[in-house]
Amino acid sequence: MIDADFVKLLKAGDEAAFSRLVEMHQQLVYNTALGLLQSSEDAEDIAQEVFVQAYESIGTFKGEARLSTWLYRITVTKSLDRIKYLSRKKRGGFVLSLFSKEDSMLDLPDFNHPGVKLVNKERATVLFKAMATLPDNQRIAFTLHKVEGLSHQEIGEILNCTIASVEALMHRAKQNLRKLLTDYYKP
Amino acid sequence: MSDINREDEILKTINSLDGVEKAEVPAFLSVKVKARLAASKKENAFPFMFLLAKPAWSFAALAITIVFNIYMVTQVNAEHQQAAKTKDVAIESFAKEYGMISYSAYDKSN
Repeated sequence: MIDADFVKLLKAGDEAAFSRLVEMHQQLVYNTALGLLQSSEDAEDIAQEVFVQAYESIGTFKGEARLSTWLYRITVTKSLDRIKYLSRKKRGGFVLSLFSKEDSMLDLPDFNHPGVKLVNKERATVLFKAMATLPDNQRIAFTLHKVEGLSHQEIGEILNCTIASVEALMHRAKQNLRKLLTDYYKP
Repeated sequence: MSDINREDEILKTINSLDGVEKAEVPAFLSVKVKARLAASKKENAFPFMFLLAKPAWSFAALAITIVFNIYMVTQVNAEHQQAAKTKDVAIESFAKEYGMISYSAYDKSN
């Protein structure tokens, strides 16, 4: 198994193996972070943090999941932490955040994903704004499915839940998006 | 916008990410990762370097050091004074015991 031998090298601190890990998975990590954070600067920063953490904590990797699944988990966790940090910072501190309402779609900045087809650009910008207001788990599931193109089973492995749970998350995410978009397109 | 059009627009919006392509990874990401890793290794080698990284931390550390020093100096002084007093009393009582005190003629109390 390639992963097992490769992980052994990584655990031994082999720098060439680590460079290969970065080369192989940088697109996965960067694109996941980009979909969740909706900012290329933040996504690049998080991608760097993910690989540093991967290098430092490869010793704890048990090999039960694939290396890519493990990296997805680190990326998702780090991206959510960054979202929470930015949200607290924007609202002017933790205490204020306890009393303020969630962001409305209209307050959020525009994000143009570079991989979206030209014909869909405008709608995708609206959709990203709506996605940013979803609860964390729904946001992750929807982003991983729509932006990363992962199957429900793969998402279940990343989130450590069953396929049925992922399907429920996707269903609720779509329902919430529909509500948000109905309000958005209201005349 | 009619209801049918609105419903159609909502559906199209929800599906607007279908067929999205991967975004290109920023240039030199792997080089930046290596640089950050090297910085992280340095940081781990000197775990208290964060005290110097931000002026607020440096000032706080300096203030704590100064306060601790002042406390120690006053504490040591007090101990010295106490020790000196105890020493004087001991010598005096020893001298009294053996009649070694020579009183001055000018000493009013005697």
